Amino acid sequence: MQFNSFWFIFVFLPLTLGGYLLLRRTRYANAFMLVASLYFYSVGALWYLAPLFVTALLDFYIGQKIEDSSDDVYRKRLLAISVVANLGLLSVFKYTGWLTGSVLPAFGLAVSPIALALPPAISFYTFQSMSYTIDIFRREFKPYRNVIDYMSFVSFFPHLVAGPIMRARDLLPQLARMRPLPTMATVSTALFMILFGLFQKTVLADNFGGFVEAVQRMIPGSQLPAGMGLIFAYAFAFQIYCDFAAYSTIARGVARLFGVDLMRNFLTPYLSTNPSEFWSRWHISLSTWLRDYLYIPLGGNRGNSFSTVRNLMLTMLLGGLWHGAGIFFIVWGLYHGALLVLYRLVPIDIYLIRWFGRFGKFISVVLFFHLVCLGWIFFRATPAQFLPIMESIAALPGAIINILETYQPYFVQVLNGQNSFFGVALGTVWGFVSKNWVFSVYAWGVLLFALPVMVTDILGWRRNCEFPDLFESMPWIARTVVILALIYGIVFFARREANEFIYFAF
Amino acid sequence: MSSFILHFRAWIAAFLILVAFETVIYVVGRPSPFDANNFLQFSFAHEETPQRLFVGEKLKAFAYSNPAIVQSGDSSGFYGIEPAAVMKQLPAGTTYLNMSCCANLGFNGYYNILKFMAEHDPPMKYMVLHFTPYTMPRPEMWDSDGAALWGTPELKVFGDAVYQEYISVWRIFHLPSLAYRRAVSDRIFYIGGLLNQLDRPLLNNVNYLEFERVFRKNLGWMPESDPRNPVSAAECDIPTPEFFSFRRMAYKSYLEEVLESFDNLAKQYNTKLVVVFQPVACVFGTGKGSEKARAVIEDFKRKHPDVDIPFPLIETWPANMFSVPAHVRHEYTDRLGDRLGQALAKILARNGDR
Repeated sequence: MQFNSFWFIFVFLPLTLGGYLLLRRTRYANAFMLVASLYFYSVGALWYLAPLFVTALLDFYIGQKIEDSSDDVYRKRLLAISVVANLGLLSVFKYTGWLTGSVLPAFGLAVSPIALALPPAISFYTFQSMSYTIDIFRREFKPYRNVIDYMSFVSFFPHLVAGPIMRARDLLPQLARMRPLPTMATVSTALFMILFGLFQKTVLADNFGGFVEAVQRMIPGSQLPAGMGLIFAYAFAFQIYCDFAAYSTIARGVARLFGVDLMRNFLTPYLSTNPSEFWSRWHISLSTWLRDYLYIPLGGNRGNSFSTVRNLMLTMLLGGLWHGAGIFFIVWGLYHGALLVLYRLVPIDIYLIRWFGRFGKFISVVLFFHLVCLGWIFFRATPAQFLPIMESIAALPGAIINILETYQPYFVQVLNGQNSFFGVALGTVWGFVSKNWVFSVYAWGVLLFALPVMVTDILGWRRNCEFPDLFESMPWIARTVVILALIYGIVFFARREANEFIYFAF
Repeated sequence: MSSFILHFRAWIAAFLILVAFETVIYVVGRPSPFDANNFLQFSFAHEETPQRLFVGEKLKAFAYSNPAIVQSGDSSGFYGIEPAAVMKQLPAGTTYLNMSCCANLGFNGYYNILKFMAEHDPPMKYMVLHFTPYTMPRPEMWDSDGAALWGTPELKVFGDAVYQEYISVWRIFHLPSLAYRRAVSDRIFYIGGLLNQLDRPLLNNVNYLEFERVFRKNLGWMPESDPRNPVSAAECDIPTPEFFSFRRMAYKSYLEEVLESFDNLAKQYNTKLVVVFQPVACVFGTGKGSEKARAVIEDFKRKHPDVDIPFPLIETWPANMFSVPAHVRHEYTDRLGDRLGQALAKILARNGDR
């Protein structure tokens, strides 16, 4: 079920909330939440429940067995069963098609391609469930003996499909106890989070998605106009951010209505100056998961430089593979690993800030944003689209130089006092627009939709939070204006074609 | 001040302003409900899907036209059936409306258009489901969204949108200001026309304006204008896909499911269903290619004697009378109109509708 559907907003959510409030003080509250969550998840197809139950019940059982045993070898074996079963199931669904369709044929092995439908959220709940058994194994967490509570944790509908990936130690205790009613202030902020998330999704992410699709449609058969590759990179960068952040924001808002706090998943990531900062602000629940359950167990940065580089690259490679099956996901992961290594060896942002102060910080943000955008091209483009996109980006400086050369005589006139600078500058810009019409129109579109992202992110960044967190501290008149702006933004500018959240596919 | 008001005064104020603003728009602007919806896209630098636009315009133009007979279906009927030609054969005063559009409306869409018309047009007596055997019911056009049905992801089956925007209960959330969506988005997206070259040319171009004029004048009919290509005249191969029906605990064809649904719809509104297959360029041949579909139709006829299916599934016309397999050339559409008009006249006479 989609958060951005009438059915969810006006039927499922009110009914589930009503039911929860009625049963909140009884022992049936979690059973009710479990049924609601399973309905939410399986409304697309009933069979989605099968892998969910296998993963969750296996880990529920193994968690108890690990806890009950004091034999370290036995405990390790149990943990290995959990990890292998979880990753095995995930791999079967996620990578079988890619392996049989692309990888094995590339090595000359003729096999019939096997196409398996991917159950939504499998990557999310697998990691979440795995962290439960690992934490018990590490003796950092005690297993819960109530299967309803445990299943409620795995399937809690606000975050089930696209995260945040919650640890059992953070979420299970909240779900297992009787929660107090949320305060009026919490409800108000939660509603704002839901509204803001809907705006991010339907107005921003979906319209950026339209630009991405438009550029992809231009590629076959003809050369991309100069600069359109840049439109593709910017538009996808904003699309995936707004899409995923919208889901997380709505998830957090909905969870708060049920008295549950979900962790923050984004914190103005595009205002980062370096890759370490970026990964502490982007998909925080995944990056911290990878840090705690992969990077640190591998040795983290405790060894020599070589082992740190190896650990970083391996972690980011698996991070890339977590997102999907395909050579470009691997490249994307390795690319981010390489950025982490590069900035560790040459801290570009620190140099820039040291040399240029605040302007240096601004340059670092802009530079790193563009490095991230380059990575998004790997993430979104197909191998066949990659080259035309890069050629189109490379052609943009030529198009600008071409215009400047054309208008050079007029600039000479400006120097001689025969012409006004403003008039010539305006003429040059308009000349560029006329000669690069398609690029200019799309650039305007990207700018138009990027503006709300930049404004809200900068406002949040200044207080080290996200924009919805500012809601309670705004004067009530400002809150009214923002609410109306978001509602009418959705009414007038939301893209009408139905679009799933991108991370449903992961 | 109570805690509730204190924390929700921004929401309350926003709600009151919204209600006041929308009331003013409703009272002053009197926006049409056919404009105040989300049926058309108005996306940035993205052309409207022509078929969607046609359906939107047709619903708006004919919602309250009160015809006695309403036709819905794919483009075979949109281009093939001229209401004037049909009405020539019908008793005086019997009105016929062509609400057909296109295959990417899907059978759900044909269904929803008939439902919409039945709700707005109480005098309706007959529902005509008109389609070509080349676009028979299949999952993509009935119970799925049908993305990439024709290999172009943009061309989606959009019949559900007709339900969502014109029939479903969710219409109550359509604010009156939605009617100004295009005007507002044009000003912002295209800076009031400065960047208009990539604007939805379909809405402004000469051919579209001509379409608007023609279909209104012709009660929904549009003369065919396809490029001329040779059309194959091989043996007809009519796929009849099936699905497992839990209600029946047996496999059932989509064709039967669709025909039953339309019959139920007709009964719901006290009308009669007439199912019309357009002639085809392919030939009967051994009959094996269409055997299953014909068997389903015969079985359906037996079980539903109240439904009229006046023509056989395969009625071969010379291939040179077709522009594409699904469209009869406009030079020959009068024959289609006469054929249907005569059949309907007999049905009307048999039912005492004179």
